Amino acid sequence: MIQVENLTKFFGQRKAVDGLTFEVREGEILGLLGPNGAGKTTTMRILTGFLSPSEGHVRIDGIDVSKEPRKVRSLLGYLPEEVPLYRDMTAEGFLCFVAQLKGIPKTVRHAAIEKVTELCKIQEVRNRLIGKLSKGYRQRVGLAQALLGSPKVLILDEPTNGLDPKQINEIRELIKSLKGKQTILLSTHILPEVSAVSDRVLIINEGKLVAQGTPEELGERLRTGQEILITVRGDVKIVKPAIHRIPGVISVERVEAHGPQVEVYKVFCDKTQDMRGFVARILVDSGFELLELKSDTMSLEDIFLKLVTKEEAPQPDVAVLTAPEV
Amino acid sequence: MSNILAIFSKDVRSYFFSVTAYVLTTIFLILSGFFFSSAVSYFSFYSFQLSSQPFLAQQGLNLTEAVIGNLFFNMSVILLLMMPILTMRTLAEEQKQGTFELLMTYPVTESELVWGKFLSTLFVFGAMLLPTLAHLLLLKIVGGNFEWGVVLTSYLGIVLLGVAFLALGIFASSLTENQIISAVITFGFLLMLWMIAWLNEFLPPETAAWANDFSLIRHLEDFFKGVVELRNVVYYLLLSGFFLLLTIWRLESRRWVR
Repeated sequence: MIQVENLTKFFGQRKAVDGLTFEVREGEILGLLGPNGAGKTTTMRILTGFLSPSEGHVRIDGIDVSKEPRKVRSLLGYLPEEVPLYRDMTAEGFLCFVAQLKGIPKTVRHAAIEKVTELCKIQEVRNRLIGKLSKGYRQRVGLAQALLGSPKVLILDEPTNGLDPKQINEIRELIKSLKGKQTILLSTHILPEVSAVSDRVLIINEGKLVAQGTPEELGERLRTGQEILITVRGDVKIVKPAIHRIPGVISVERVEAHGPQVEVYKVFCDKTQDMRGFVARILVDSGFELLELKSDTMSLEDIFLKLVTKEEAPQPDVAVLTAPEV
Repeated sequence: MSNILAIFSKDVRSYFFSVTAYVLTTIFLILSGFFFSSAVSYFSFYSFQLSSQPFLAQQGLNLTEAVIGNLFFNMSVILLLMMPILTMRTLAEEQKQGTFELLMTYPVTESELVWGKFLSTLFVFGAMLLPTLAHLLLLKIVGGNFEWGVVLTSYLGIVLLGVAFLALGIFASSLTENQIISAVITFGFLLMLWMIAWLNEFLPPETAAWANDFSLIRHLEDFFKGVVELRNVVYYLLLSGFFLLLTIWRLESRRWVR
């Protein structure tokens, strides 16, 4: 549904988006994950045709965005990050205005507005001024304008930004309920959100694609080694080197004490096959009292952090200051 | 076309929903009314004095020139001060609120947006101007003797001048997210175009003629005398078209930057 090829965008000297290539399949919910300033908003703005790419192509439903922007826009529903609305209009007046601009014929306009007000649960505030609505309602009005006219593709930039937990849940449920009917690309810097709603995740950092796949696939792929947490009774000075001597163990780290002489260790192994049984047997054979052993799988959070934090010397402050916020 | 209409009616509603349109119209009417009534009293004072001096009375006083010309000239000065307020928020506010981005993700072109904005400000301007007819009707009722033809051409001149003001104001508004900056740019630029004719005395004749051709006010004088000259009409229309085109380009330019 959405094909992005080698997308690059410069702002002056700065590369905001750097050679992004990805695809969103029809009916899929794709999560675009990245820290603030990773280029998510810029990517989405290019997808909607608001900005043009420095290099590369974007095709939506087979139509090139830069060649036929108007045609593409009629397929799109877009919710920008800071939901921009006319504060002096009523929710219904605003949706009516949007319906006109989206070219929804007069005969079905009313029904279309009715449908989205119901879907986004804004019936009770439809005649109130947008400026007087709470943030949660405003966000829903924003979502309603994106959904208006049932566009094939929805692009949602941080749809749960600034909402309280209950509202976040409601918006997520709403997005999930659209699954299969519409193709959805949503961005976020909040991890649980991606695993909660998306089928696939795209992690970008500094404008580059660093990983993609289902949340599970990502966990699998990034597990280069294996981490095992073991609890052993014994003196640290003896136990730690003993664990380290086990073939296949790269490093051992004492995590915490669990009472006198009981310590928890984090063991990194380089083998991709399961090392748990092997490690347990050796420890018991060596006469240690093994109290607990479990493998430590990486959460999406760990994967994300591992991908976006590079262990480099910190860059000079000047460079950070001159980079404009996008 | 339906897009232009949608933007037009949204903006007109917003002007009349907020107090902007009412405040502008009221202040405009108070000021123009003040200048008008003082011109009328001045006129009646002099005509009374002249009636006691038969020699001067023969030359006669011209109500059309003294009062009508005066009224329209004063209106143009008031507009110079007020039009930047009318146009300052048009595009600046859309850009600041981010609604510009939203509009541009609908199947709407930049030129439709600019036309919608322009027509909505033109509508408010019309609403400001229309009640001034009351001044003239009142003068007619009390027996004022003036020519409606001159009134008509004067209105045409004022409308053309206003259209140029609006086009320049909308362009200034597209340059910034800040309404104040937009108003200041508009006012500064309008004033420069206004005053350029004052340089005449200091400039060599060729340059002076050139400066005259650019002046917003020089092209107005003929209209107030009841003369519609094509070159004056063309001047205002060209100026307006030029700035509207610049506005469209300015909005499109975000996509040119690669």
